[in-house]
Amino acid sequence: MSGYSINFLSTIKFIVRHRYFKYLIYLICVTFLQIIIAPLISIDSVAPDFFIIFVVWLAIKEPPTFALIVVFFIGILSDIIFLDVLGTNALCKTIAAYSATLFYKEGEYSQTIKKYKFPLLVLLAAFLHNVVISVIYSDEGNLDYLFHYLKYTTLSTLYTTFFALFIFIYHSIYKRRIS
Amino acid sequence: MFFQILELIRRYKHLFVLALLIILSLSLINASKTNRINGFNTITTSISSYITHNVFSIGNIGALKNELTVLQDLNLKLNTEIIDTRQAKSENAYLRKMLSLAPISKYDLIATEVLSIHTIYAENFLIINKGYSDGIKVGMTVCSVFGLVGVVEETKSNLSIVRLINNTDMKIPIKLEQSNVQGILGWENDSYLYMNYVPLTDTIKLGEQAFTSVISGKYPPNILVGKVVKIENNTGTHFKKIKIKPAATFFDYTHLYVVNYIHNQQELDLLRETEQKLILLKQGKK
Repeated sequence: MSGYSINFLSTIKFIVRHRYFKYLIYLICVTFLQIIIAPLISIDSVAPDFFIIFVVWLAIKEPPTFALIVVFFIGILSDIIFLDVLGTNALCKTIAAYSATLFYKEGEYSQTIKKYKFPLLVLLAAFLHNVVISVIYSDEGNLDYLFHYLKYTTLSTLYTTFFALFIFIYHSIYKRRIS
Repeated sequence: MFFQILELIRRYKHLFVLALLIILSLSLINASKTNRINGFNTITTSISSYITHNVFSIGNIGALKNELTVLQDLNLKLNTEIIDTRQAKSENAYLRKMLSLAPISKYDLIATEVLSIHTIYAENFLIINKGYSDGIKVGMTVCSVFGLVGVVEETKSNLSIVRLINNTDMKIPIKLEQSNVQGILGWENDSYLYMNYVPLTDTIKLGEQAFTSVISGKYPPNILVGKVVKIENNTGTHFKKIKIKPAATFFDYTHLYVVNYIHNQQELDLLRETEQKLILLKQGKK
């Protein structure tokens, strides 16, 4: 093999092994889940928000500054995919991520994800996200609409938290058994 | 100092990043001129107006002048609306009165609207929006909810002209309610009607109501004309003069009723012919 090919392969290996590449793969998977799977498992048009679970996971895994920047771009991506007003999801997800970063402790990721803290953080983040988005999209002066929207988003929050429980169970039971 | 600031930024860099990202997001939202984000628009408008009023209380003088002009225009519009509303309110009250009058009246009434009021050779007339196609005939009595107004003088298909009671030629046979005194009422170029040649022996009370007389061949009987406000004793004569305030204030008409009643068409025609002859005779003498 030529020197050029070896360099190229080693670069690819480096990229693949790098955590940022893993995050990109995870993001593609989450986007797939959100676009394809979420509408299929929606109950009465209430669908879980897999992006929120990913955002919270990222916020407790990575340092706050990095997590916030990544989450902001995830929000922009979400706005583009779901044809929302550009910046709305970026704002909501950044706020949600910040609430999760408050519980970030360096080197304690594995402890945090195994505890009840993770689904609770998802609940908090999803709730904040949905409240902010409800306020942004609320009809001017129409409180009925706002209450309806809040009710709808509360259900979405609970549904999202329900899926966060799977990750918590996976980490606390399955991974413990393996170790 | 510089290093302290750098240390502060380093320590709270995630907060700075958060603030930056939030500002970026808000700018992006604000840049999209869509009406889907009503809540966001409301909040931003409220915050900006709060800041303008509380932080920059002096404000821009040019903007304040513009605001003043706009507010003055608005004030003018609102005043006009208030006047319109008051007019509508009084009209509404009047129409309600008309509606309440219609069922209790023993006569068949035709509701009309006043189009215009005219003075022709010192005689007062008004034009109503109903004519012979609506069943209106010459000689029919016209009244408002308050009382007698006049008589239909001429009719067209959809219009009629009404001779008002404040005309020098109008002579209305009346009867006073309590004293049963009968007489002829006329107008003397002011806001009242007068009954002349009432014998001094007749006892008339102030406030007595005057109705059209039963013996009148021109007007349906018992239509309110007015009430006695003054009794004058003409010195040197055996008569007194009764001043009557008309029930329906002169010229204050918007909606009227035409009483679908003609006592005797032949008698009415005869009266009109005689009237015409007398007028011609008067003109000939002059």
